[in-house]
Amino acid sequence: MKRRPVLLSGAIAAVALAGGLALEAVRPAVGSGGAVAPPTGGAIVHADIAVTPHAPTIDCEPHFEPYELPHITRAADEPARLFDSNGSGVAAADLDGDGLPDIVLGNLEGPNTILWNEGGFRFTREEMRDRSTRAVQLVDVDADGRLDIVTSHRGAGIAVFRNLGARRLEQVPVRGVGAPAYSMSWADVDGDGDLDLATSSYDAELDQVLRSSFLFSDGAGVFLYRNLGDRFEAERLATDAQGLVTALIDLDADSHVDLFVGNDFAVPDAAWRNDGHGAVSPFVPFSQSAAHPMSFDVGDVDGDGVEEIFVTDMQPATVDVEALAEWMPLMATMDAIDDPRNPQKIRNMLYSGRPGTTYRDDAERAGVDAAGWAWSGRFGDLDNDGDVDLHVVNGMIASETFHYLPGAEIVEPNITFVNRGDGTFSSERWGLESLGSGRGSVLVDLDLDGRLDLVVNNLQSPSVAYRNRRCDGRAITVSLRQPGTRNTHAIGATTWVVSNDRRLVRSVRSGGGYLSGSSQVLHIGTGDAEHLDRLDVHWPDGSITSVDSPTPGHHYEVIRS
Amino acid sequence: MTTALAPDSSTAGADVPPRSERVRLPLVTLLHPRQHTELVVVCWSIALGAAVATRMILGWQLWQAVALVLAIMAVPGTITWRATATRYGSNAAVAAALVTVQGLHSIEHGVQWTQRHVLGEPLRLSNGLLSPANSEWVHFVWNWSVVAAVGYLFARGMRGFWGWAALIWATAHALEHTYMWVRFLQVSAELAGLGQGDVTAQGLPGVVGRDGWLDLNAGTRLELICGLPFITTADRLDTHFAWNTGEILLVLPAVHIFLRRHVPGFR
Repeated sequence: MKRRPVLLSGAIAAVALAGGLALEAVRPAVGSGGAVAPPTGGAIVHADIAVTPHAPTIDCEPHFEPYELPHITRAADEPARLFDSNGSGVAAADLDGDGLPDIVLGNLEGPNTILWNEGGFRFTREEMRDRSTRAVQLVDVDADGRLDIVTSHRGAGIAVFRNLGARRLEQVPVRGVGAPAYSMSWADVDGDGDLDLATSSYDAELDQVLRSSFLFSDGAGVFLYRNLGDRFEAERLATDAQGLVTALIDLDADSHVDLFVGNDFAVPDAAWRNDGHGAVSPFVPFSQSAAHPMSFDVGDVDGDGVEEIFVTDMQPATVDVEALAEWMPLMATMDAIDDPRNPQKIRNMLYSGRPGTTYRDDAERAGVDAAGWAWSGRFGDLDNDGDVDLHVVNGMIASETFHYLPGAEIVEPNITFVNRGDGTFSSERWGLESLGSGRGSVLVDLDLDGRLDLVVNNLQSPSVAYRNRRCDGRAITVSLRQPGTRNTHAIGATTWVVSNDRRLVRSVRSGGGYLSGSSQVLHIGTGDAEHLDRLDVHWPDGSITSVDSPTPGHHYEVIRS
Repeated sequence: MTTALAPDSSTAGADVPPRSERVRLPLVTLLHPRQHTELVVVCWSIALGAAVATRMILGWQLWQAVALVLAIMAVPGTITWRATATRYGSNAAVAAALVTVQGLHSIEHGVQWTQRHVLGEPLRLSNGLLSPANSEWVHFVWNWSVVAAVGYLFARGMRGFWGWAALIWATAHALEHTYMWVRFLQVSAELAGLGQGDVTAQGLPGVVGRDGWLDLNAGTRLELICGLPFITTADRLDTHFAWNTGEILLVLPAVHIFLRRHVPGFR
């Protein structure tokens, strides 16, 4: 008789183990959608290749080193209230032609800041006369080969600061672009070779800023601006938007960028499919969506050649007693969203699956579904092992919502999700766990050593650059140029590094994360590989350039001729 | 080595029915009100009428009306259980009470499940019929009471596969609620410290389920067993619907076998 409990326990354990093994065996891995081969069939075009070795990493350490930057994003009131809490974005790219990425930080109550990179993590500060800035992107709008600065604003449209070279900027009008814009994205939508623009408003803020002038207007919404060369032609796709995110990205695998708008609050996210000639029609690519999609970034988390999409939302990163108590008064107000039939969920989303099908959410299985009050989430290979990692900044300051907290602030450490190699992530402490209230962020190699550094634009505290001192693995970095075209920096291009059985994909985008730009220097960690088979460049028009045997530890500038 | 099971001393002096009355389904016999059927029907009618009246005339909330029904039905219930104790012994009365109250408790969780998944209510509003009773301390006391009742019967012979399984399951369930109750007290204290004492800390995740200890603990997250669907993905409502459904499904055969083997009149 006494052996029965033992037998029972053994039987239960065996059944559970067998069940677990069976489920593990039948369920697809995170992000699995079948390996996709690099595109073939496009016309082969010649390119000039300039190869530069990466700078050596000095003083190797197993972590990132913070550098406080001379910029603080200020709100009208401190603690921040209403939509000032949403902060501003940041972008980084080489503006002055010295090869070093410069940094542009948006600000709400005060001038933006340009930090001219002098090398060695030394910067020269310059104020930029633009106030109430939300998004920041660096795009060659006038196609002169120099990246211009584009900003969106609280209660207004976008502004373009033309890069005149020699660190001189001039604000220029953009004919045909005028609607209020909170978030934006640039890409060639109609396939004519130039850069078109999509913008979304944030109507809740417009209502607050513009008051009756907004209430009695016909609102704002989502706009697609087609570039006609000397002006833009506007098409209004939606009259209402709470567009924290606007992204031009190919969602249906037809090689044409589609438009995704991530709307805050109860406004459903929206997407428009592109027919390849610039005509768009609504469609639904995701079966579920984040209720407050604050960030949008793409990265191939499982190395199968298909990029996954990460969207941030609000969810406590821990269930520590203190953290839960801070969150509970807010969570008690979210019943309206907590409906099992509501496709909007309050958590991060990791959309995966074969493009062209409906994406599924793998965030929980990947271990990235909760990252606090998350803003910018950026993919990048932080340890050069060939697997894309993920960094998420978080925190919230809101005098109305969190009046019961010191400084009206939820203080959370930013989170570094390190890819285990199978598309799942573990949270690691690599010195990036700032307690600042981060908003925009960008991953960029600031010192040209082949390792991704990080820049975070905090609200009400200094912005910070984090220097990557880790010395594991190597990488190649790639810049694409199309001189003489209207898309000089090849936004929309995709590169594939082929090595053994792996195909590491990266794509050139104008922006990502939260209200932030994307480095247009592509970074591909290659681990300890000495040699790579091939670097394939899939240009925006579908033509292909192949670079044989690229060498890790080098920067490749591929100039289409 | 075998353990001698305790003789059913509770039946000493009881009115043991003749063998001809013994039945294949003793639980059905136990739960049947028998000579108190008329009382049960009358009380049930009064309870329903009172519930409807208080709802429609006095504007009582659903949980208040349901509580009234339960209070009225407690009268015939108590009388019936006393009769059961007299007729079959106290062990049988405890078994009958256990099955009745845990059965009703499982129904309450079934209603919550229906509210959530059929009616589409938000999680925080899927509170079943007795929403104010859906609090941490009630569940804490309730589940340890169930463990006590199962343990009482276990000590008196409710062993075997089902008895052991029911005891282990009920204890695990109670431990889960202990963890949740402790965290409820901790978070409530934190909320009070923040001046947010009017915000309830009800509904926190436990050991299992989405955002539970197994889901978020660095040592177990995404590992094989803890990565199983439901164990780390189910929300609180589904988790406790499963706990209670499992509990009643184990208690029923355990009690059935116990009655058949150890209670005079059913042996």
